[in-house]
Amino acid sequence: MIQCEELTKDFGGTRALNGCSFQIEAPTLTGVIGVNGAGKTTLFKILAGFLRPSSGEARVLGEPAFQNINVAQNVVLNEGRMTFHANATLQELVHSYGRFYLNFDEKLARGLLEYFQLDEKRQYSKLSKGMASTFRLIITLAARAPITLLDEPANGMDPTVRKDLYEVILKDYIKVPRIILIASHYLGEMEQILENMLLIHGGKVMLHSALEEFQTFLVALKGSPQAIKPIEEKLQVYEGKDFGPGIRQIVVKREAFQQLQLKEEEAGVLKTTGISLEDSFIYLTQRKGGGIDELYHS
Amino acid sequence: MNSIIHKETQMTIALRQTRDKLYHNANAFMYLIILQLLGYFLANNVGMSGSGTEYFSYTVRIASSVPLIFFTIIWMLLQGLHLAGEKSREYYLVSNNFTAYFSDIAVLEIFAVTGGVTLLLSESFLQVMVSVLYENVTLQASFSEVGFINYVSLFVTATLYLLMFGAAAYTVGILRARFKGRFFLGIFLLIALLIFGSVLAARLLGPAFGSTIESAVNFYLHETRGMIWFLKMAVTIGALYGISYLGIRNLEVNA
Repeated sequence: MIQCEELTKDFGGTRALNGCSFQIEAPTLTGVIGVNGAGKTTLFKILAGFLRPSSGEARVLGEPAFQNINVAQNVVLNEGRMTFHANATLQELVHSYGRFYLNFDEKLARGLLEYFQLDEKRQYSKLSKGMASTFRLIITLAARAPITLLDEPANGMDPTVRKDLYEVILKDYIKVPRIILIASHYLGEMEQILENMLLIHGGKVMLHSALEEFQTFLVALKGSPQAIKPIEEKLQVYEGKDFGPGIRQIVVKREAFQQLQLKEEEAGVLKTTGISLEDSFIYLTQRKGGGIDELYHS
Repeated sequence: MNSIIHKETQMTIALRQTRDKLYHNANAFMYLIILQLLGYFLANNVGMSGSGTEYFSYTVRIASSVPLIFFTIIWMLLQGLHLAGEKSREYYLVSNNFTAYFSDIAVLEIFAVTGGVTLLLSESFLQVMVSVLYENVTLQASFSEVGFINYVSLFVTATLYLLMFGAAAYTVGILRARFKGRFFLGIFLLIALLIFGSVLAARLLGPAFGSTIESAVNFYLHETRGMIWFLKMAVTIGALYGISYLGIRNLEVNA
């Protein structure tokens, strides 16, 4: 249903996407993660048919996405820069979405508006930032489009509302399975509902895998500096830290570590621990060299 | 149950978009009423002349529908610019450049017809109003032309002029959205080109080939041959729509 092949997008002299390739065929709840400027929003806008790729191809439902009406009626995009008709009330916007998205569930939209205490007669332009985000998420979910793109849907929301909304996304996905891509920086909260992860870094897909695979992609090894040193020399280290004079911890790829096939006595002195999704993301995408320590101690 | 994939035609969506735009731009009709009320106020105060002796004096008011036409044109220009300027919002509903363009043009045409009808009715209304309010009133020559053919001709004229102004404003708005900062540079260069081109043409080929704003206005407003006038309008409106379509075609949204 979504197929990106060597997708590149330039804005003047800035390259937002740089040979991004991936494929999604079946309904999935996938988290699209990446640092600011990684190209997540650009990717979503290309998939929604808003932007034309500079090179490569983006196909949605088997057709090129750019300005394609068959794509537009089956893709719904939620992002912070969404604009609505000036002075339109929430009720009017719900009706508009209902007219255009033929799968739209008006009963669900009204129910969620009531649950989140959003007055239907209020104008969208008068909502607070968090309330506007909640409303946008409600109408995009209620649209029940086969492809739902949520770009930072929880921006400006308080933690209670965020928790509820993740639950709503999950329940709605279970009820009507479809492709839902969520880009968010709240990784810790999001990982409870996701099935797959798509990590974009430097405009490219760095990793596209099941959540469990992503969670076990890196491993932390803790032990004496003597025990750690030979591993550090052989493998790519994503993070190295000293915990006092006798303990050092490094973060490496689990698969590469397993391939080392250490002897029992070597492995026995090392303590291996898993890495949280958020930490994995940080280690995989952090800048190499010129860290904050160097900045303060130079 | 999986989400259902829909495949509606562009035209179905464009017509739905037209209705949606009319609904959300209903304020436009209120602005038209306000501007035309302002027009009425000025229409019966266009001019005044008076004379008299020590025993007798009189004052004659001159009523004209020109202020009404002027304000309706202003309204149409604003609507054209507004439709072109608010380009990104429809794409978050179901849209592509063709449906957005088609529905904009349809809405502009509905606005032009509304403006044409209100202008047609305004002449009679203005006539009644000034007759009731004032004793001595001189009416603009067009007021004396009554009859079905005259009314149809007044309606068609008003509607086509409004359509032309609306299309011009829409084209300007689309070109501005397309070229962003470079748009103003383009306008500056175009004006410079027109001025120097005209001066050069007048120098090289004689004064008849020099064009001024006045000659451009005369080209549209002082054409007495009905069919020629209609052709001029149709070609101009068609050209403006063509330019605006070329402007919106392949335009990216929120780039």
